[in-house]
Amino acid sequence: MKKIIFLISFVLMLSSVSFADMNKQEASSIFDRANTAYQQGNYTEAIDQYESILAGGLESGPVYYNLGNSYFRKGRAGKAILNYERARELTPRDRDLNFNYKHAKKQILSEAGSSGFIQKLVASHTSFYSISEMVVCVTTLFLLAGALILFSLYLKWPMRLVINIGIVLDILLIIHIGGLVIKSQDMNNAAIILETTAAKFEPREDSTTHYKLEEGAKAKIVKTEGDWVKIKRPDGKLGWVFKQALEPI
Amino acid sequence: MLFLTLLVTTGFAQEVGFYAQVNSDKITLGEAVRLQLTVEGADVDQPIEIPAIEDIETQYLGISSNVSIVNGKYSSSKTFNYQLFPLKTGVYQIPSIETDINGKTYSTRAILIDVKDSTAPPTQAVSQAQQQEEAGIKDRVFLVVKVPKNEVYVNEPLPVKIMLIAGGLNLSDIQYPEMDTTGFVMGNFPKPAQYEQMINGVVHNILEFDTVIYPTRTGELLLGPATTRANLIVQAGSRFPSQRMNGLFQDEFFRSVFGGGQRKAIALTSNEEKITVRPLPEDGKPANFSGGVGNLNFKVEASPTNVKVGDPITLRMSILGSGNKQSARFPDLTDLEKDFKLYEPQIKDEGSERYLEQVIIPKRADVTEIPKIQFSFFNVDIQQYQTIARGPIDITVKDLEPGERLNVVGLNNQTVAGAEESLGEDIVFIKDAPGQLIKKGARFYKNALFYVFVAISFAAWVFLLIYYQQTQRLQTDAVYAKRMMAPKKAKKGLLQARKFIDENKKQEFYDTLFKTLQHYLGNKLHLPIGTVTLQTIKSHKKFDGVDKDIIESIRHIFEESDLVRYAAGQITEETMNNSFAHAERVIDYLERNMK
Repeated sequence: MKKIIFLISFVLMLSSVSFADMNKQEASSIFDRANTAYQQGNYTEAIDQYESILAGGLESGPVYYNLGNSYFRKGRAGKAILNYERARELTPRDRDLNFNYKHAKKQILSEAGSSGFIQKLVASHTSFYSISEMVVCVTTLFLLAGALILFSLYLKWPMRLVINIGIVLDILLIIHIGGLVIKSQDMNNAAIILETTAAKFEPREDSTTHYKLEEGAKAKIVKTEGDWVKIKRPDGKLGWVFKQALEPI
Repeated sequence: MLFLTLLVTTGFAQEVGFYAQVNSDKITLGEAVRLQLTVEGADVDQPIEIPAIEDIETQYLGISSNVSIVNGKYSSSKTFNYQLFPLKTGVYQIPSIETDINGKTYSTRAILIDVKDSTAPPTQAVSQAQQQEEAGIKDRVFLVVKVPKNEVYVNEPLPVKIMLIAGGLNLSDIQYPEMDTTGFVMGNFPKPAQYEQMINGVVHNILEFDTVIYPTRTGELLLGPATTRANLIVQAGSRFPSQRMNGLFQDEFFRSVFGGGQRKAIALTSNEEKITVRPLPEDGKPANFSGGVGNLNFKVEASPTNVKVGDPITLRMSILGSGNKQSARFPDLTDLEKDFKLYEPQIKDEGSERYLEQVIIPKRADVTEIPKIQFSFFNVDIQQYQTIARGPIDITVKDLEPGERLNVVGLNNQTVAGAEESLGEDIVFIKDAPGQLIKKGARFYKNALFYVFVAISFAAWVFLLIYYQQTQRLQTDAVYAKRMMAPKKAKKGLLQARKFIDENKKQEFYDTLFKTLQHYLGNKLHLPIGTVTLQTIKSHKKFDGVDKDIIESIRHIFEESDLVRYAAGQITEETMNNSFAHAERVIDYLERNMK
């Protein structure tokens, strides 16, 4: 029996272990070279270097952040926003990152209608955590709730205390599960428009234009057909755009 | 109905025929020939396969049907249409094409097509056509990368021309060229220039894309190849020779009115240029070298120059001229900090000018000038370092009037509102360290171990919950507790009885066996121990449906237990083993069948 448990654990560990093509030391030295190129105003070189770290199978918030800055300096704000978005998933509370992200969006996107208090509250909650952090929060809260039930039974905790703690845990659980669901839906199949483009009614070049998509705008990929991608704008409008006009986050 | 009758009665009379024809057997390069294969007197639906012809692209266009009744004679035919597009000049032969119709093989005659060079002057058409017989379309449209020199300094501006040259062919939808610029920084393409040029006696249309590149590292670098895509306008037949309609860019309006042609996408790739990039010389390099390379100029302006202490002065430094301004750093102004408070500068590009605007605020009234500012760069024209000095700029700084508030932030630790601290907005600078590098896309919640952990935690929680409930019930429900404990106690009793068999203690064995069974049945049926007899057991409702063998076994054990008291001599070891087996069978049966 012990042998079987050991074997299962070993297989699980193997399935979870994977290796990147590049080691971290090598990636750090490329990162330094890219920073030097950036400081010399050689943004193309900087982009190449940062991208090579990602191509080597490694990533980090600062790599995406610096890459976003380089694209911004090259005048490719769509690409910059895409990389800031990717960085936000790894370092969501980085103030510099959030400032640059907002700044880049402000540069190219026309002002959207002001959202209500609830929407702002939800947006600030979901942008405060990464998905990983939200999963940790939800898992921990579930464990605490389970432990609370066991403690109340085995240790005979007073019912009033159990109810009070239970209410707090339930509220936190609802908030975090809701946030996790919203964020997962938001990130699932999300893409950034890399250049201002026209969304068509049909996947043909000569089809009628449905609406215009601004560079840096977010859209959801519904399906792909050849060189065309069916996307959904946040307001629910569907349209077909060229595959090259967007990139998944 | 009459028509159908005629069709049926006359249809069989028509002979089967298979013919090939082209709309023109003499065309110029860039035009296409329409080939028609006609089948008469037979019903053929599938397109007829044409053998491959070298240097001719074939495209099937579709099928057309024709039915005619002339003087009562019915005839029908089906025509398969193809477009043939020659890629080179020369005489081509469309070979005899065979097809099976109603089990018989039919064939067409071979057809010759003469494809001439479209650019040849009419008087010399024949001779030039022979000379350029092998000239292909790709020889008439090509992309060229040109640089004025192949040796430059690092960061030196190098003008690049990418020329799309087309001789006598029409192109449309030309894309901006793309080029492999590894090791270079490339500027944007302005609107391309379009002109005509005579090359080898033939007028060529040229589209020229000009830009400037800056090598960013030393060594032997390769520039290019450049690539672009365009559509070649292909005219079907010779009704409207495309090269005579207009220039390089085919007009959509005329093409739509006069029938137009088809588009054929072509991809063009240019030559590569080898560029040797030298490092900047170390000799004579100034300590304050800005990194700028080119023929640059430098200007410094300040306004206003008549201010009070705490008033902002905007200092504007501009780098102009031709060269790589992006690589040039503006002069360091930290020396000014003893007399001025400096705010964060703003660097912007405007046309060919790169400028820095910095707000400086005089700290005292005795400041009379903005000191001299020097800018050093490498002048590629004279191949030397050059330093331009501007200033000093005279300024007048007055003291504040009595009672007037100082409006500088941060001077002598006094915080006074007034001067705007934030004068512009730009992105925050890059990060120094790469942070925690992880495998791309690796998230712990995608790991199988995480789900194992969650599953184990949940299972442990469920176990502890069930365990608690079980313990609670055993403590509070006596009937349940007795029933649950009955088999455990019975097992213990049987073990004891087995020991007595081994020791051949008959009396003790039957006492133990009887008590074990009595207690077991009492607990199981929730009866007081003293009332457990064969009669009470048999009449208990839980015993309805119990096998007769089991009841017989119980009776046997009870009788044997009585017998041992009066006739112990009759009891042998075998009898004891038999009784023990009965007891085991009873308990096992009831555990399996009685809840």
